[in-house]
Amino acid sequence: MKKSICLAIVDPSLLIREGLSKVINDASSLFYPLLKFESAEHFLGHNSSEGSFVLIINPVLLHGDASLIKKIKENESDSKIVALISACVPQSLLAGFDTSINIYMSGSQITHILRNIAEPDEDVKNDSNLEQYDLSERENEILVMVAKGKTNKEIAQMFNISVHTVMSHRKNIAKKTGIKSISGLTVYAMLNGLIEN
Amino acid sequence: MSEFFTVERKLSSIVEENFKIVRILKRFGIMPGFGEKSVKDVCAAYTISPQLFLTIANMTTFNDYVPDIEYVKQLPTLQLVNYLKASHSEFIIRDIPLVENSINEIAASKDFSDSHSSVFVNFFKEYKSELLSHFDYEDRTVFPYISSITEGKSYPGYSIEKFEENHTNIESKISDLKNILLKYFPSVKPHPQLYDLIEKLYILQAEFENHANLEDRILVPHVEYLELISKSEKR
Repeated sequence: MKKSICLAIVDPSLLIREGLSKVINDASSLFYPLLKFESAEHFLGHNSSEGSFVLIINPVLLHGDASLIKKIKENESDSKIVALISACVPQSLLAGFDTSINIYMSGSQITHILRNIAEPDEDVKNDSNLEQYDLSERENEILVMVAKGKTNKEIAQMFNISVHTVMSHRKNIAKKTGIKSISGLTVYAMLNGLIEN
Repeated sequence: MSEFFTVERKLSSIVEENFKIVRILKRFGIMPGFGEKSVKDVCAAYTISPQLFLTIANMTTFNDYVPDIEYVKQLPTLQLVNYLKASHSEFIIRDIPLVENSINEIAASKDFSDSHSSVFVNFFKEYKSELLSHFDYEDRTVFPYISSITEGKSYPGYSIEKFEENHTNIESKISDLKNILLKYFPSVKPHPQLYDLIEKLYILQAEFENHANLEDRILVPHVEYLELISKSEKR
């Protein structure tokens, strides 16, 4: 089963909070629950959660106080902090953030960044002999190409790997997802925000 | 090895052992209310071949049931074809519309995003037309061909081998549909219709698998045998 990741959005604008949470919800089921706060103080006042945690916060709200980020990291053991950029901000404000998104990105770009930051050690996990449930980054890339109607040969050339490797990736994709048909994989890719409609 | 069903068994007891046999009763037109009668007696009352009934019941229940080829050759062709036709019309008239309605209801619900729902609705539309053309081909081409060879008529340019080669897999996409709903369709709250739909898809997948199994393992070898006698008679 896919482990869900708690996500908090902190921004003074109601429209940005609601809009961003809808975009993320529509593109991926990975993030749950989705919490929304209008200020850093409100956020710090809530009880910390268990497990993986991603915080999206407007850097302006930190008033240039980098110790707040430190405090958040102490509160939430396994947390990632993403800057939500809605206007030009001085680079110094972005110190301590793991990554950033801006309000002009597409839904799939945002989800892609969040997914990467939430599960950075994907490739490392692949090497362990533990059973791997989620699709690896490479499997996701191949799945997108399959959904776009590319043949095994085309995919092999694109990624500079053998057709045989493409086939074994496809076998793994079918095994993990339980989805065999190309149209089924396309639905999967759309539901997970890997491709746009 | 499993203890397969025999003609001496009480019909009610084999249904108790596998509730999927209820659908077999329906396709044969066997009405409930058969009391303590055995398979043999109920089949006799409805003039159904008990061998055919048992073959289907056993294949539906036991994965390790392999019908004997000599036995398959002797099954009544017309009853077998009628059973498969009844399955088709049940899928077309009842099961597919039920799934379709429940998908449309879910798509119309405000609990799911429009973009997710439309992707899903389109997937099902495409699958539905594949299913209908699959059944239509069998109803219009394969079954009439089988009837004509039982009547001793020739049917140039067609043989059951062609059917066997082109027999497409219809159960794979229903499994995709089920897995997408179960694993990847984002829900914001527990939606009763979604659970019902997933359950329905599980049942229908099993029905499609059984149906394909009957066609591939009973119908094809049976008709191959008929073709063989019709050829030798013509010589």
